[in-house]
Amino acid sequence: MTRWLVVSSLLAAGLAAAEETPKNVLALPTSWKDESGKSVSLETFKGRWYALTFVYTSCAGSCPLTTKKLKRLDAALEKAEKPLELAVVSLDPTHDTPEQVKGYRARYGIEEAKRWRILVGDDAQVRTLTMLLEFKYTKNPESGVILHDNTVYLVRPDGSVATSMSSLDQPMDEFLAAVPKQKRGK
Amino acid sequence: MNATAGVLLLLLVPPAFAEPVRLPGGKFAPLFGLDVGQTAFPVSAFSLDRRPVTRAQWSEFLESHPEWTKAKAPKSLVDDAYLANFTPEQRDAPVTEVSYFAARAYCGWRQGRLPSTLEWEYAAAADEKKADASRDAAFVARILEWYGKPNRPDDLLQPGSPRNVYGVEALHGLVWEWTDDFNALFVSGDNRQDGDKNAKFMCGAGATGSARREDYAAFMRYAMRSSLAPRSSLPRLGFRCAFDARSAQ
Repeated sequence: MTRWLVVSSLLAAGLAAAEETPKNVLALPTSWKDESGKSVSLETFKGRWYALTFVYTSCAGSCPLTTKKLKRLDAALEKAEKPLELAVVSLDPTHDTPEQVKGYRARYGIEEAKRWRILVGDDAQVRTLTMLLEFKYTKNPESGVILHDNTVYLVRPDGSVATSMSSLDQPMDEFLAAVPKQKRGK
Repeated sequence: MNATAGVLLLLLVPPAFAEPVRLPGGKFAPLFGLDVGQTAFPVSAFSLDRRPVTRAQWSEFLESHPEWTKAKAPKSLVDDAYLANFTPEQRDAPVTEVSYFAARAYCGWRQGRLPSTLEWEYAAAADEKKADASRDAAFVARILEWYGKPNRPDDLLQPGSPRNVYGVEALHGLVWEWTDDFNALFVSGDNRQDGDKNAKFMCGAGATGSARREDYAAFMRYAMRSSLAPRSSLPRLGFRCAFDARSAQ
């Protein structure tokens, strides 16, 4: 049927275009606030390797697993003398107030985790950054539940993505191996 | 309004200069996204371009934003097909071969944004007489007829679907259109693996698990959007801008 030919050719074109995408979190500017209310751009991470992922503090689905995995990653990096900053970006900026973020830290015992940088922006910033990474999410407008990918990215000093892993059930060995050794505290 | 009257109106009002149309808020049941127990989502009032953004409008944008010309646009934001065959001729034809990022930048330039998928589908469910014709077999058949047509270069000069009850035109029958959250349908690679019990994301359950299985045209749109990457450019993929009610221009 012609209809199928037209649609399948369009789908094939779309899929072909999706291949070999050079992802870079600095390809478009995004602005965020850190927990002290200070404005932060991802440009401020330039020159350093870091991990980046997305959660939202009221998430009862996969986010607790993501957060626990980030804690394990943080500990493993420390042990391997490859400590990284972890940029944890909120998918729910209207709800994730500084108080909510504080509660999130307390809930997971990461009050003192200084390398964790929890960033809150607005919906447009979240959309921009997630599109740059092709990280998918959607918010149910009635219940507020957010369905989302579960990916942790390893970002190079120039903003490009070196590798990524699932924050759920994928082993972190390859991710760890991709992180270069650096001086402690850097 | 019949199709002939719609075409006549088009001739009277040059599409390139048409103002965005204000849509009232309401409730809408999109094909995907409703959870068990949910029947519809609220949609706030917003404004939407009457027609897709034209080549003339895009040319204006390029003049003030040369960073989005084919020569200068960064490869992290556009693919090789970006503006591959763009010409400022056929001024009223919709601009196509633009990436999501470029489309979004254009709407930002106009102090607007891309419509959400929910908003787009809300607007596109309307026919000339009623707000939600998505269960109307004749309406759906008309859209499917367009999807089945082979593409011809002069198709982009067609009027597209006639002005609907909100006053929006060519949501069907002309080009596919970017939405702000176009990729938000399949949110993970394998929903079985992730333990997601939402059966509509399982293979083969896509059509039967949706809110309106008779709206096969909407199913095809969701499939089309899901196949795109934000850098993608296609000869039949354009866009139009939306504006929040308070900033509507």
